[in-house]
Amino acid sequence: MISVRFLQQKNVILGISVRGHAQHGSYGNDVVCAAVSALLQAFELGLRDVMRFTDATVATERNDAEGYMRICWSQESGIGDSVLFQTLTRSLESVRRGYPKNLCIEEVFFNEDL
Amino acid sequence: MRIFNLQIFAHKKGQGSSSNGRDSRSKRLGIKRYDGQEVLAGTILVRQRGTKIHPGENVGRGRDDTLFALREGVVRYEMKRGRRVAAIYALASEAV
Repeated sequence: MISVRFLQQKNVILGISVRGHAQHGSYGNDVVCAAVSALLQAFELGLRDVMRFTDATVATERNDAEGYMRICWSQESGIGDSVLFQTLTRSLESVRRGYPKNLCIEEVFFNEDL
Repeated sequence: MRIFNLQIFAHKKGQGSSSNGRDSRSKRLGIKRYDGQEVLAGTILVRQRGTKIHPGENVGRGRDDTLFALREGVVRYEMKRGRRVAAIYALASEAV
């Protein structure tokens, strides 16, 4: 199962981390994995290529082999309130509703995400 | 332009397991007493699968095709009608 965690600090979302494997289909045929992968990468693309945030504001950690991606941002960036982020959260929630066995979403404190 | 990896959260295929890697304990088959050896009655001469060697004179065959001596004597392996045959012959000292 893919685990999506919204990382919050003082009720402000400052990042998202995603890990795990959807296990909805075989490698190359996993539509849940493809959807989540595309949404996350589109989110990062939007932050960097459209909204023009740099590494000073946005930090991305990614390990394709382990199935892990984490995007964090500074509170001042306002990304947590942006249309882009709202679109991401609603899209992920829509995927979760369609595939509840393959995707879980939770909100955790920033420091709890190890 | 970025290239998306759509399989970040897909479970990678494991390495296919080889069809080799299995083995069984050795069955310790083979000839136990060779041509010319003196044996007592009941001595196992050959352990085998099937009858590579057939029982001849004074040699019995067990249900697993093991050949054994039916009497004391000397082991001989010979060819009879195209078959390899084990036989036990009386010791020279016994022969009259």
